Amino acid sequence: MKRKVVKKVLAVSLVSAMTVGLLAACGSDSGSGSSDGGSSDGGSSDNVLKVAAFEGGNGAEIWKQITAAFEEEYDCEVELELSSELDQVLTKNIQNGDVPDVVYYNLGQESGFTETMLKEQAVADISDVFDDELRGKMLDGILDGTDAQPYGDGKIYLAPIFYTPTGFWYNATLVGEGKQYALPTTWDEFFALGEQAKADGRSLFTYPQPGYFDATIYAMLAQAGGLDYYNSALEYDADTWTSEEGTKVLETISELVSNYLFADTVSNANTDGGFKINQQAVIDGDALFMPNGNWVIGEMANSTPSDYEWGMMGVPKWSADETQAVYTFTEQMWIPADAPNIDLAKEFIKFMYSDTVVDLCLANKTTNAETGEESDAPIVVPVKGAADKLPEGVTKDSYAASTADDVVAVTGTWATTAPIEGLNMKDAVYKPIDSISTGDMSVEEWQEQLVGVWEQCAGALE
Amino acid sequence: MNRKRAQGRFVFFCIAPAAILVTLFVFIPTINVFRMSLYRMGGITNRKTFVGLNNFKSLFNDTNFLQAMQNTIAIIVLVTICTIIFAVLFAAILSRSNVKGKNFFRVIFYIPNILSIVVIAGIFGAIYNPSTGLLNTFLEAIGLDFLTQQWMGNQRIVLYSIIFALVWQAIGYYMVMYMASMAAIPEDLYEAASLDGASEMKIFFQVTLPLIWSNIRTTLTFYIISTINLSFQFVQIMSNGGPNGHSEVVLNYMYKQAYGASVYGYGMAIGVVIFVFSFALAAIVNKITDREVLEF
Repeated sequence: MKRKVVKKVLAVSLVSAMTVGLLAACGSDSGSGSSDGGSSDGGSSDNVLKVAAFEGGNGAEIWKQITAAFEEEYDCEVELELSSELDQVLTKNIQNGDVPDVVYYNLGQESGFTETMLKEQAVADISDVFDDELRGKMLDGILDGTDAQPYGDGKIYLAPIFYTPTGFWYNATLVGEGKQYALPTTWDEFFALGEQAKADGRSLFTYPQPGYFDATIYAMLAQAGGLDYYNSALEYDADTWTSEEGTKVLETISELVSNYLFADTVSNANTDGGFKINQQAVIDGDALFMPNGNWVIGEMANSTPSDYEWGMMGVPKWSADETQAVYTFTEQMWIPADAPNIDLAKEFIKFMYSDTVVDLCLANKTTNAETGEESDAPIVVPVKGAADKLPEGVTKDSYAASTADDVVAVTGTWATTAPIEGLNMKDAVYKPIDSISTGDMSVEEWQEQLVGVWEQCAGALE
Repeated sequence: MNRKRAQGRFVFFCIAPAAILVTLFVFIPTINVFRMSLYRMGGITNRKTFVGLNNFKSLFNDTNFLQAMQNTIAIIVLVTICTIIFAVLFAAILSRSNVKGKNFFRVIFYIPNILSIVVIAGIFGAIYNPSTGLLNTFLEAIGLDFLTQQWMGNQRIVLYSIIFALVWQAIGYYMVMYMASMAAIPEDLYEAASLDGASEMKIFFQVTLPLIWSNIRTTLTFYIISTINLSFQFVQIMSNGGPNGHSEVVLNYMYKQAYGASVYGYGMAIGVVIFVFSFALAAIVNKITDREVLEF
């Protein structure tokens, strides 16, 4: 009898222990993670700034240095949250009412986190940060695009803290002055080079993933129709794609990917990590050009031979006497509308353009996780003169090319609309390029699809 | 009386934890998915607007969703048919005939189940690679160059490439299940059949298949549920729905909408449709395969 009771008590206590254990494991653990800094009481003391930064290609060290410098200069305390999955961390935190003061997370990411915050009207207006003094210091036009003013209402919500000119990156061991192939400037020359490369068993072009066409299409639209046409395209003008300019852009892309594309591009583009195989094709000389930004140098450093040279040129023009348009990709910092310490957050954004931060960013180094090797990874803040301080090399050349006198620097992204069910901009605009390259979709079908998307977006523009 | 009460209390305390956990982690989230599907929300802040059944209305006009649904159904049907045929065939061969190295084959067939889906998808990614992959290189080596393909790049082939990987990983698991029920069939039934002069083929269709029928019926439900889940994992790694949506499946589409397109409520509506669809499909399959259970 006694044994039975003991057995029962044991059974019940084991079951309870299991339940308590499971429930405890599910509880939130605010102590873990890479949150630096002292107090974690979640309070909103005026002197504590919560900075949430995406840990990506720029590395983690730069954020520790910037926040340390800010703490010193402003005599405050910074709690730094660094994560490569910042969108997931912040979604959880924000839902629990723990809103950071300032966030570094770019537009155009797979998670669409910043876009969603904008669509939910959850980002604060920071126009007053950019007073005349700061505007005078910054690159001309960098604050005018839809990547700073996402609603196109003249108010700034996203601070462009870093910038990178984009264009066609090429194998400069094979292409350039005195090399096997001459560097083309117009589309006709570009396609002629394609024929020449074909005869040598090489392809003219590849792309890491169709999404990389964003910067190319922005530059081509500005090139084809000028800045007014470009800006109205970003705000979903109904004639964007049916106009002469729009048709010219689509037909040129179609000719490029139908006739001159590296054969394995589409297969590699959609598999996990396959974009690197396409990038490697340029290094190996199987393809000559691809759309990219200067991050590709660090991204491919492990598999780049020491005698290999990168080159970067603007997207080709239709005629030699046109002004060259170069698309500048910016990275964004913003303040959530519900941030507890907005004033200090605004000071932090201002601080991002200070000489201290400019120099820290230029001196940035990253450590390769596999080899442990440290390499230079300069980041450029969009203030005048910052890019001039870069060491000589392809990175400096690419920045110089975007600010030359005969070049128009273009920024901006498709304007922010109210959420549209079933529409994913990247998928709708760029993914058809995969089908066009294989001949399964015609330019007319692509054009028709884009007109439909533009109509939907124009209707949902806020 | 008192004892009965005590026993009741004991049973209650033993069942309560499991019941609480299931309620907390299965029922409440499921109800929440249904509730959230009625809202327009981004899923980050707590701002939301009640839109009734609007999300469902948009869903049936969304060609991308319909394409994903079509692909999912094609995958379920083809994976189920191919896996059943191969799994039953191999199970019959391994359990009925005297193949040498039976146990060895059983282990080999089961190996895919030990590997994680990420590894299998990675392996197939490498096999399908157009220039360095095993498949194209093999075809070239045996002089069948004209059969080489862009296995993951050709939008008319990509879905079948994924189906092949799904079938490959599923065969072993179901084969072991069928072998277990074949082993339970008494040997005298087979002896009687062969004394009557039945051929091996006839024995398979008249004795083996009817006697493992209830097992096959159970596995049909497994096929539906596991194919919906696994196709998401395979597609995410092998193609992410590409090229241009031609290998998109509903769960991946739901994920992209909920976590990448700022329409979390719409994503939940897709979740509800998948939930209802899988339940309905399992019920229909269960109904039409209903036969009188043969006992031995």
